[in-house]
Amino acid sequence: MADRLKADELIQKYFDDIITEPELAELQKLLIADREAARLFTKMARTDHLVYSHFNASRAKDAIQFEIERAPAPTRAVIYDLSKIAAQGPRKWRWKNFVERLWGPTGSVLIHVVLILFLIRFAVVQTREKQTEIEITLAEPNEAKIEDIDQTVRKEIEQIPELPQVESAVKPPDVGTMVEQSVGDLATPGEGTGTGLGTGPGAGDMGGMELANDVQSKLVMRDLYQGRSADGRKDALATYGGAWGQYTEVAVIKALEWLKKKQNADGSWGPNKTAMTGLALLTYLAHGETTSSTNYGPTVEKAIRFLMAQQDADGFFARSKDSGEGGDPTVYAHGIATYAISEAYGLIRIPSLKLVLEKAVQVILNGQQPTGGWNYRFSKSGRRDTSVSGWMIQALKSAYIAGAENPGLREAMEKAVADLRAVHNSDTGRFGYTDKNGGSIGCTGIGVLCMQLLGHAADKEVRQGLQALKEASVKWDSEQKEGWPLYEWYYITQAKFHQGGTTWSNWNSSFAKAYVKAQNADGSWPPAAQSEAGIGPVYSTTFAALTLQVYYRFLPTYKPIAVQPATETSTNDVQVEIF
Amino acid sequence: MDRQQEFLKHFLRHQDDLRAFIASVVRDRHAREDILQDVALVLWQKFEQYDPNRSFGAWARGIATNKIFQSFAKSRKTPLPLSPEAVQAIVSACEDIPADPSDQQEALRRCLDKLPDKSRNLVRMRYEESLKLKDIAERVAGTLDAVHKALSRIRDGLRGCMDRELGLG
Repeated sequence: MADRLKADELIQKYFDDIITEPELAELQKLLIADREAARLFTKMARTDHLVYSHFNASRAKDAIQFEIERAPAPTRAVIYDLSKIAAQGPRKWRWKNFVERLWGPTGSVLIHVVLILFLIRFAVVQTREKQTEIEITLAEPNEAKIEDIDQTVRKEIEQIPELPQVESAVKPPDVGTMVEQSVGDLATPGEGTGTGLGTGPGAGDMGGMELANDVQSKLVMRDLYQGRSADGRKDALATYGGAWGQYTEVAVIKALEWLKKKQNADGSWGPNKTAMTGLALLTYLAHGETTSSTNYGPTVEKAIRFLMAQQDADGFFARSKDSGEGGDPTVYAHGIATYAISEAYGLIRIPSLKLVLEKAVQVILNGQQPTGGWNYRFSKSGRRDTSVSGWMIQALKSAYIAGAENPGLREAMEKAVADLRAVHNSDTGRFGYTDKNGGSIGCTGIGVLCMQLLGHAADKEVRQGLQALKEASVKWDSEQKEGWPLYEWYYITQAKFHQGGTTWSNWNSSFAKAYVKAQNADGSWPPAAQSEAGIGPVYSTTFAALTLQVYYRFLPTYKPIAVQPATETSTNDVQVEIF
Repeated sequence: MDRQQEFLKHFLRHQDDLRAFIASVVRDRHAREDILQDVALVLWQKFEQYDPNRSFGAWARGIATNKIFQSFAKSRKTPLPLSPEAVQAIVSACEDIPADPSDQQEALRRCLDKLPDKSRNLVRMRYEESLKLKDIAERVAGTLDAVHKALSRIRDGLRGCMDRELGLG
C-alpha cells in the first residue's frame, strides 16, 4: 500500500516533468515489480494525453475526422513538394508506398485531407518560398490511366487558382465616390467625433465606452477550423450553448439574412462604411461564411473587395482629416477593418489579402505609443485609450494567428499588455478608460478580454477584473439615455466565455435569452439604450450577432500567444499528420 | 469493407490510446511527433500482418514500442527516460478502453467545465500554454510544490470524473 502511494506520487511528478533521477529510478522499479503501479501509470497517461489534446487538438486530426465523418465522394489528389522529397531519399520511398497503397475511397479521403492541409500551408509559404515545385498526383479509386490523371490534375489546378482571382477581380469600383461617401459619413458626426455612427468613429467622444461599437472578437484560426464549420458550430453550440444554443443559431441566421438585404451595391454597409462593413464582414466570417459559401458567398466577397478598395497607399483603411484632439472615428474604423481582413485572410487564404493585411498591421504597429497603448489618430503621445487599444489588440492578435509576418508584431503585443496593466486598478478590480482612475465595467470587459487574448488569462488583473464583472447584467432598456451596453456586453460575454467554468455558466444562463428575446422580427436588433440609437441598426445588429456567436467564434481552446503562428511552422514538406 | 477502410476504422478508434502511450514514454514533444508519424506509416505498411482476432490496440502498441526503441537507439543525444524493461511493463499494463474516443473527449469536456476557475487556469497554463511548473508557480505567485499538488489533484479529479461520466467506474 505504501508502495502504491509512492508510485502515485512519483507518477504525478513524472507527468509534471519534475521527477528527479533517483525518483525516476525508483518509479521504474515500481512499474516493473507491480502491475497495478503500471496500470496506474497508463491511466494517468491517458488523462494527461486527453487533457493535452483537448487544448491542442491539431487541425490535421480534426480535419481528418471531419472528412471521414462526412465521407465525401472520392477526391484524389496528393500534392507534395518534389524538391524536398528529392532531398530526402528514404522519405520519398515511404511516401510513395503510402500513397500508392491508399488507393480507394478511404484512401482518397485521407489524401483529400492532405490536399487541404497542404493548400493551407502552401498558401502561407508561397510568398516566401518562391522556388517550391509542386506535383499533383491523382489517386483514382481504380487504376487511373495516365491521361485521365493528367486531365484531372489539370482540372484540379484550374480550380486552385480560383481563390487568388478574387484579388485580381478587385477593382476599386468607384474608389472616388466611395471615399467621398465615407468621409461624408465620418464627418457627419457632430462635433468632431460625431455621433456617428459608427463604430468606432462616432464614438469617439462618447466616454470610455463609446466606441463601443466595434466589433469584437478575435479568434484564432486554429479554432476557426473547428468552430466555423457547420459541424463544428453545431458541436460548439451543443457543448457551450446550454438551453439557448438552438435559439441563438436561428437568431444569428436571421441577422445574416437581414444584413444581406441591407448591403449596398458597392459591398458596404453604412453609415460610416468602413467600420460597419468591417463589423458585418466579421459577423459572416464568425459564422464560417466565406467567399465560397452557398448563401452568402457573394455578400462576403463584395464586403472584402469594398474594404480592400478603401486602403490607401500607406495602409490606412480610414484616416483622420483633422489634427485636433477630439474623438477620432477613423482609428476605430481602421482597427475594425484590419481585424476583419485578418480573419478573412485566415479563413480564405487569398495571398493578396495578406499583403493588404500586413500593410494595415504596419499602420497599427507604427502608431503604437512607446508605453504600449494607442490613441486617436494613432498619435504617439498624449492620452492613451483602452477602447481604441482594444481594437488594435484584437486586430494584432488575429493577424498574428492568421500568419502576418510584420517584424515587431509580437513585441507590440507584449507592450500592449504592459499598457493595460498600467490602467488596472487593484482597489476596484476594474480597468480604466484613459488611466487607472474611474474604471468602468465596459473598459474592464475590454481589459480582461485583451489580456486573455494576449496570453495572460491567469494574471492577477484578469482575475480581479472578472471579479468586478460579476456585477454586469444584460437588459434592453429604452429609457436608458447613456452608455453603450451592446458594446460592453460584447466584450464582457467574450471575457467570461474565455474564462469558462462557473463564470461562464452563470452568464450564459441569462445573456443569451435576453438577446434572443430582444431581436426584431426582421432579424435586426434594436439598440439596448437610447444612446445607441443614433448609430443605426447595422451597429446594433452586428454587435448582437457577434456576441451570440461567442459559442463557436471563440472556443475555450483558443490559443494563447505562446502558440506559433501557422507560418512559422510551415515547411516545404507536406506532412501527413495522421494523428 | 476494403482494407483501407478497415485500417482507418481501427486506427481512428485507437489513435488516442496510442498517442497517450507514446506521449507517456516520449516526453520530448518534438521527438514525440516524429515517432507518431513514423508509427502511423509502419502500422499501415504492416497492416496485412495484423491478425484480426487480436486487439488492434495491443498490436499497435507493440509496433510503437519497437519504433520508439529504434528511434532512440539512433540518437543518443536525448536518451529515453525509461529503461526498456519499464517500457515493457507499461505496454503490458495498457488496456483498451471500451469507450468510444469521441465519448471520452466529450466526457472530458464536461469534466473540465466543472472545474472551478482557479483550477481551470492552472490546467490551461500547463496543458495549453505548455508552461513548466516553475513558470506557472511564478505566474500565480505560488510554490512549485503547491502547483504540483494542485495539478495532481486536478488530474485525479478529472480521471475519476471521466470514469463516472463514461460509466467505467
